[in-house]
Amino acid sequence: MITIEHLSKTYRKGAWALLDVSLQLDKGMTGLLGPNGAGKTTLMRILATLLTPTSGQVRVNGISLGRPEEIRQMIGYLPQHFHIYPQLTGRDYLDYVASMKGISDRNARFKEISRLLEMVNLQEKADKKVRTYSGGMKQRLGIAQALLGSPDILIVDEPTSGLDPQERVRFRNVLTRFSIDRTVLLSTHIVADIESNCRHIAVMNKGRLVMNGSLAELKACGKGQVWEAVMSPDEFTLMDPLTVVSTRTVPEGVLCRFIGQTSPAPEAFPADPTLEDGYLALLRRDRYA
Amino acid sequence: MHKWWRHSILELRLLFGNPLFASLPVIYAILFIVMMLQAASSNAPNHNLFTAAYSFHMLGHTMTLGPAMLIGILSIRRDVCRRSFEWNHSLPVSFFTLLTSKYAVSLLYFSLFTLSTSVIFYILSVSQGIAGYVAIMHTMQFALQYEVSYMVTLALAMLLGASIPNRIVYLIGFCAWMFGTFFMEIYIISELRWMPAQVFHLNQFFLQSTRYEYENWGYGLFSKDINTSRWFVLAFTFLLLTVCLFLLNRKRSTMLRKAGWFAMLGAAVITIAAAVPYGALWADRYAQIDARLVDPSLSYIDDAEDAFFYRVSSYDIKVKRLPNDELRMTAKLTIPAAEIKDMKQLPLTLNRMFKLERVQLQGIDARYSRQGDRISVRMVGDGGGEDMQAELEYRGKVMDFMDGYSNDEFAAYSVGPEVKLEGHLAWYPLPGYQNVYLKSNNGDYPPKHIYLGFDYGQLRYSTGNIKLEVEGYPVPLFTGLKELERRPGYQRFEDNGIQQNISLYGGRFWKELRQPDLPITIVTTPYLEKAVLPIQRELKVKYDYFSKWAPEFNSNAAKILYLGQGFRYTRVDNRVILSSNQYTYNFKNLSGEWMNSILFGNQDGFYYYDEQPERDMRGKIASLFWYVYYVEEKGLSDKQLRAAYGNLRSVQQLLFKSGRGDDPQNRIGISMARQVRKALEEGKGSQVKELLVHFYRQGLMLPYPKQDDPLHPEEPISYKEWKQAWESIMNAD
Repeated sequence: MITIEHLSKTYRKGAWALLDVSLQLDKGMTGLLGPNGAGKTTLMRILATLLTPTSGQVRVNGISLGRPEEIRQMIGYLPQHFHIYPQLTGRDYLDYVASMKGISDRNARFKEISRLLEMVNLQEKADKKVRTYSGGMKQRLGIAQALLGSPDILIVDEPTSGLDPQERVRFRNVLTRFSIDRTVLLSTHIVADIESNCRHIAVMNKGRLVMNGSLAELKACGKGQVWEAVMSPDEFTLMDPLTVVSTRTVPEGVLCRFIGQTSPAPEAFPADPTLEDGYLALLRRDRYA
Repeated sequence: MHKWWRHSILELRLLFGNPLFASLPVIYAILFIVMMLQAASSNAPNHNLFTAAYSFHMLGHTMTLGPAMLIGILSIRRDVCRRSFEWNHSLPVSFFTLLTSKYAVSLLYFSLFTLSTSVIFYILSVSQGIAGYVAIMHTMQFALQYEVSYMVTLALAMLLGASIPNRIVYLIGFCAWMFGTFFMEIYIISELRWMPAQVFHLNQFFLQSTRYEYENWGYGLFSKDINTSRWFVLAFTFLLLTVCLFLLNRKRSTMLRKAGWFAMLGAAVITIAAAVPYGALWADRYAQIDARLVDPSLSYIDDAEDAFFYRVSSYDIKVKRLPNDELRMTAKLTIPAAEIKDMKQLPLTLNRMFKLERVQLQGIDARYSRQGDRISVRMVGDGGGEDMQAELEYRGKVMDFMDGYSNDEFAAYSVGPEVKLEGHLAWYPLPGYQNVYLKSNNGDYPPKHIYLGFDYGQLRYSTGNIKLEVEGYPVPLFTGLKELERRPGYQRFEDNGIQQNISLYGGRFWKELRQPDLPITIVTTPYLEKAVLPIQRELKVKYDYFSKWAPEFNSNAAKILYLGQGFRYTRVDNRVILSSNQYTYNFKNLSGEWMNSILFGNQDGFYYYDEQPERDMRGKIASLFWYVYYVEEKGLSDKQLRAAYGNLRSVQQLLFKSGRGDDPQNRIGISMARQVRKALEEGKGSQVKELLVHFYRQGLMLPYPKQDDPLHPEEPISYKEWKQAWESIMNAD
């Protein structure tokens, strides 16, 4: 469990990357959503003990951030940008990380690495040099290193970017299984990842926590603010692009989905909000607040 | 430890996975072995194994510091300073583990350079007949220097890598490499003469200084400098690594922040403490210089007072070296009464390095005053017309630093077996007030440098008898006096009627080379021995040739001291000929140089006389000895002799003195050569030799005009005398 209380972080230039964030992450998977620059990565780096907060408290399984060496014993972390020594094979790399995580027994390491390679579907490429891997393969190797040693806390920053749909589904399942009895914090832009995996959700914007709750609560943020209308192409081009959430071509023209307090067009009719609608409505509301 | 070991294996793999880095030690070893094999197959004294190895290290090792800088920076920037390797920071591994592992592996990699050069140098040395203990000593010196240099360079590079976040760090690393080697030496050490900065030179294999380039008076002499500077460098390396670790620990949260501060503070204190002995060494040396610069008794170069001088009939000197290198000396001087008639004060010159403990005149303690090197002893009464007996007791350590650009770094020393005590340094009392040191010229106010009076011909010595006893040295010492007794730690020398300019030389591992039927011993260093043996054989050929027709040789030379460095030109100091590799350019004629000294003795004045052969033919006649040798023994024509200009001792005096061989300015020389060649062709070789011997008996020594005045018993020989002698001997029948 991770407890975050009044956490703030400012960088040298003075802008607040995090401002008074309080949050509790229980066992299970929590999704962290937010636009670029919302402070997600800063929050995750603080939790991974890579950054020191300006103020506030964090406790990871009851251990304060003042004892980072102990926290590192219990976390797995996959950063947003991830590079590996290209001279190593995938297996050697994981062997190195396993050693660094304190698995000194050779057989135990071998078993754990084989299991994870199979889990991320890299067993066939395991003995090839990393420099021959595609971006998605490297990402999967990154996921495997974060899972090595079965850490109590897993922090993954945009893990599915670069994965093909099949691997993304595979990864979601891996995470879902892993999050039983463990705390997983998943940051992503892809709402579908959250929808399928997370019980809890936290939304950040401009360094602040703007929502913390269940998927239903986020979805509810869009209630009464989602509209649909079929428009001709000419009419569609006249619409404010910031209000259009999605479009679909239908025989009658373009079926548009809008976010807004009021109906964007006379022919528009209210629609049930999705999770993405709720998220966008929340951000829109926060922008105009 | 498992983590440290595992990370080290990763670092090794990354290093040797790079083809360039993997091949560098091999290329380096190949280059070194090629150089060493060339040196091993050469007989040139300036290309012996030691000098060749040092020459290689001067540039080769400096060049390897570039990769050291690169690898040091790269090892930090490759992962711990890279955002995309941040996963590394979340692992439960301390930066201490990562840093020390990277450092150890990088050092291990560069130890391959050390190992290969050391093994090659040692094996080739031993295979060339160098004693194992000598070879291992030099090998260890080189190896230690290599390792210390790599240690500090890697630490500096890692600190740069940790403190400068972008790629400009590589450029800065390059600049640090250049600054710490070439720039440091050329501008700071050599040009600005800021000698203590030597400690900051990254590899200590100096290109411009000959401090360690030769076997003699190198590593052994400067062992204290080396030890204190290495301790400082190691402490400084520790400081650099501590700062580096501190900077890395700032990259992520840690409980060790306070410990980092304390470690850095501790390392700084250790570094400062380690700098103190090294700094004190140089502070003492500069204090010596400063004291001389403000000493009013020291003259300026361009305004030197003529020395007040009197004759000493005999010296009896006892030197005792204590284990801490302090010298305790007693010098008894006998001064003829006539020399000091009516004098109230007895003026003497004794180097200020020595503390005077007691002065006695005629066996009674005498009062004296001292200003710098000048001692004035109060004389009571007139001595009753008897010779004056003066006895001085004094002690001191000798390491005489000279800071002037044109000087050797140290003028005199006695450190363990490393000894260079020359008479002009007044290590025993010289008569009168003499200019042992001079300040830089009058226009340079305040004076900035101190020079040796010897270099400006300021010293005067009388002729007389000398007894010298030396004890406490671990090796035999060499001097121009006749050696009467030698046993471990004790030597006794004595000579009569000689110039009282006494020098002592010694060094570890020196060897005395003797050849049957050649009464000259050559003293040299182990690595020069191979080159000296053929020169010694050539010397014997020349010695035998001149022995056949010249009478007993005019010099008393019994020993040749041939060393790597220490003597600017070949010169004669009574029974010893001093010669060094450093300033010898025609090695092929070295045996000729030595034989010339054996034949004629002191010819220091050879280059100082204006050529006026009508008035003084001694130089030309001495050259004729060699002319006859080359014509008779080697069958050389004048054309061939001209072609060998500079390589054939003295012949240029006859044929080339003023430029081309037919220069009208050298009419006399050329006509003498023609005369002699014609006579030789006519079968009058014995008359020519008789003529030359006739003048040889008169004396052909050419001492230096001023300081060797007392050695001037020989009169100039005029051209007229030459012609008369020629007529009378050649036309005798």
